[in-house]
Amino acid sequence: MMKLNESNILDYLDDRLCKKDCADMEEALERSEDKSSDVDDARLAMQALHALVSVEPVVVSEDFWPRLREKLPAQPPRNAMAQVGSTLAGWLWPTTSKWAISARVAAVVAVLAMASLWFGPQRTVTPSSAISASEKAFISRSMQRHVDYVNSPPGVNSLPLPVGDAGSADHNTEQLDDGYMP
Amino acid sequence: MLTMAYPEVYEPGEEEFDSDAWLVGRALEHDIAAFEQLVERYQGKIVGYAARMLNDNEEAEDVAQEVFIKAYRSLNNFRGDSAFSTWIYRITTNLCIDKMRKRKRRPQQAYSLDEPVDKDEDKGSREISDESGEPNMNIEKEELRQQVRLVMAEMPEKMRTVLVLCDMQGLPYEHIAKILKCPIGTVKSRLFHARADLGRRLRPYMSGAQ
Repeated sequence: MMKLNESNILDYLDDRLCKKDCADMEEALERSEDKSSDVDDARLAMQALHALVSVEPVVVSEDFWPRLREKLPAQPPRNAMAQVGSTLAGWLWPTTSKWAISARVAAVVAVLAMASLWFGPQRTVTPSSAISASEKAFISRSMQRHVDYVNSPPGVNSLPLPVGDAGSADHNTEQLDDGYMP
Repeated sequence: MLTMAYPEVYEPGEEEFDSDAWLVGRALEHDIAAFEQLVERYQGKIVGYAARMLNDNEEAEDVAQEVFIKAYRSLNNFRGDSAFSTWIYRITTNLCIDKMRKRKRRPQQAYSLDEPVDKDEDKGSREISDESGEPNMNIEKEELRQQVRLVMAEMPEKMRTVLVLCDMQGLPYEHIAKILKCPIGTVKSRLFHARADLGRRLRPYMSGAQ
């Protein structure tokens, strides 16, 4: 059963419904005088508007672009990055102005100083000193167990020692969790 | 082989050249011919849209010029999230609504038909054409068109906009929803009520004009 809502009625007016839905819509409209009247009014409006468009086509004057061209700025404004880039390009261009030369020297010195601070000598990490994920997990669990031990009230049974070691292939983190005694 | 040393470079197909996004990119690189192509592509639609919204062809061209100037100035803000056509229609909608609101604030001016057109030289007077020789059918059709314009001018902006975009510009609901930044359901609801209202007010004029 086709619902007489605005969306379905519009689809019906635009011939978007299949034959069956169309027939259902017409049947529903026959039973509702109000909606049927709205549909007739809408059809009338659509015919009038389409007739207006066909009888009064809009023509653009031939000098539309020449007139517009005169009003356009010299070039479209560019985004911030492009403006910075064009400013820098202007700085790099040769100049004889004392102030411009001084400003460029100061800018270069500042950039070099910042670069030396940022990219100073760093500790390199050799592959052999890197730890694996399982080792990391073991370490974090051990640290947590230590914290829990420190925070536990006195007299509680001591925690069992961890089984295996970080470098062992048999190291099983699941067993550790099972063996933990609060 | 030398070509194997380099990764495959993507080369857009022919259909991508001359697309709106490509032309916008070219216009941002100071290629005014690319922007001219965009203008030529959309000037008819934008002038037509403005003319239907404002009921004034001359003012429509001025508004369309303002639209393209504004678009040119804001090209760098066009991120390509929506289609260029959606963006330019949206600018036009906002400008037309501004114009309509300014019109409402301006007091209506009345002219006397007997008053000379040029007061200094006292030349002529205002005349209206005598259409008594025209067939009655043409007069009734013209009355109908005038009534359409009158009813649409009195319609709320939101209803008028969807009516013009859908029934006069022929845009689909999805595109209208993107232009107006509202759900498709809202577009359909406004359109339904706008059509019903217009049709109801045109009914007395339709029987003789058809």
